[in-house]
Amino acid sequence: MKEKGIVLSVNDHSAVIFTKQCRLIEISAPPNVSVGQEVFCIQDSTFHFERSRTKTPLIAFSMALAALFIGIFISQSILTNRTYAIISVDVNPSVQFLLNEDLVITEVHTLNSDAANLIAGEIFRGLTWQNGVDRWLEILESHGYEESERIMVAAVLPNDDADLKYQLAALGEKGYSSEKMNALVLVVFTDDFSISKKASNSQLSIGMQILKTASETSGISWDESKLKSADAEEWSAIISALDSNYNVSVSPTIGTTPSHSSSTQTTPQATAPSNSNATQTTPQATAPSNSNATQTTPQATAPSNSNASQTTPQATAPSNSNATEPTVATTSQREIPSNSNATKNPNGTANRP
Amino acid sequence: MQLSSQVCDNLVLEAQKGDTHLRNQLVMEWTPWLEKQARKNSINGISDADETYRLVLSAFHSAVDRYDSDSGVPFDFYAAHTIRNHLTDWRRIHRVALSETSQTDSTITQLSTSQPDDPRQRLAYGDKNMQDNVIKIEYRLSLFNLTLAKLANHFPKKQSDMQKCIRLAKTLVTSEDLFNQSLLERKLPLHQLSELSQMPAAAIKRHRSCILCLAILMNSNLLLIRSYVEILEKELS
Repeated sequence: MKEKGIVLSVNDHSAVIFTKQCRLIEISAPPNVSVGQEVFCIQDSTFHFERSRTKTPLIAFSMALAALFIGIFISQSILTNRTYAIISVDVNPSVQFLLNEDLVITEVHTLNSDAANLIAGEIFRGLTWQNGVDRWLEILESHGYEESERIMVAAVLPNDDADLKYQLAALGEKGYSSEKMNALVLVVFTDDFSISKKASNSQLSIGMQILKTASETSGISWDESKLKSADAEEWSAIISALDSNYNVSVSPTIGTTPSHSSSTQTTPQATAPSNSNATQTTPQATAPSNSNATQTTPQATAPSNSNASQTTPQATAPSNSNATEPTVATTSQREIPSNSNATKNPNGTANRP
Repeated sequence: MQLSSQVCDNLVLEAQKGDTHLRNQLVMEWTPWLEKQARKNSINGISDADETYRLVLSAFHSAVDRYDSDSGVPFDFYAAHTIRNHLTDWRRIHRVALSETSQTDSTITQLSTSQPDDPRQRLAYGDKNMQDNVIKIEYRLSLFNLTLAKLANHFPKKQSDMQKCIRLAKTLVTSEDLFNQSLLERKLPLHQLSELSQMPAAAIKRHRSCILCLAILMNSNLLLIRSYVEILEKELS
């Protein structure tokens, strides 16, 4: 906006001009302007309101304070709701839980309309993942899916979360058993978060995506119906294929147990599953650090701060062991840790296959 | 400065008449103050302290020569602003290269054309009468703790507000007593203005600075400003 005005003051860098619109404006001054001179000046139309000298700092301060609180609130909610791990439970129907760092469910995704109908009205948000899985299986039980003999639980989680890995491994070992339902639980987990992206793109659960990927690499054609229909040989092939790329945990004693599967489930000294490609299906898995597990197995490894009561001296070195030791151990030698709520008996105690 | 304003004014008056002895005495009395002015202004471009002091002294003599005690501006205020303006002009003259390059980017174009290589063209305060008028305006504003720079860009944006301010400023200036009273008491006579203008005191208080500035400008000898105000008032009404 071009305005005519009279120069009232000049200093080294700027000039104050009283414009024809009766406004005082300060602009950068050229060297050839003098006081009292009438000039044309180009000024943008952003004049400012006159503001109170006492209110302005108060307003600024309160706005800064509000911004600070909003920032803290938003960052807190982002941090607490950030997806830390993803767990899918495939029985067909399938659901997928997004967990935060406290392993609490923040979101539930259904992968088909059956699942959507089943969980309508159910609140999973805020439950621990184990309670969420339990609740989902109870829903399945009560809606005619009690015949299901195989459940696939797949998880994508950070590699360093030994506790979650252990809890997942324990769920695989233990399977699922209730009054109506007795199912084998195939637990597969990985730290490869790209799988969740691929699954999302293919509109599959992460479990089904893992199955699909494994079928592509192994040359065997599987789909989710194989979970139900696979015979012992096919089941064995599936587990072997998964086992080569993922952490797999499955109990040999529930449901249709493949004949050779004991080879992947015979790690008596298998320890905390962190970063391990070992098949962690043995009862001697090391208890997680905060576990209250009571380990009665001779080979059980007790962590230093655990409340576990050990009855045997053979503690083993944990984790990163890809070794699969040939010793066959019976599942009855070990109890499921109490903080693994993955499967419960009606009386609330850890269920044992 | 140890002298009272009355004694100082008398001394300046005698010095103006040509009493060299009194002028020297005045300079001697004011030497610490002059040194302070030199220190204050030496940060901007004049590296040599002696050179700065020489410029300050020269500006001081000019202030003594031009000072008019009837203007109501105290001598120290007048002298300080004369020195500041003198040094501004000195820097503008001595920054020829800078001046010429920045001319192209200027946001101001002059209405009157004159020779671009005329050194006087670069004097911001070449017109001494104008300088005196502006110093008087600045002094009056300073009574209310205002400056031109502080007020810049802080006038009301809304035309209706501006119209009110002009009306109130005119009311204030028209009543000479009220205007002098506000200068004397150093505050805007809110209640009297409210009564005269039939406007709530709160609304007047909100635009206090703008009203005062407009009134002071309208009361000055800058006829162009008065004409600007008249034109705008007609346009708005």
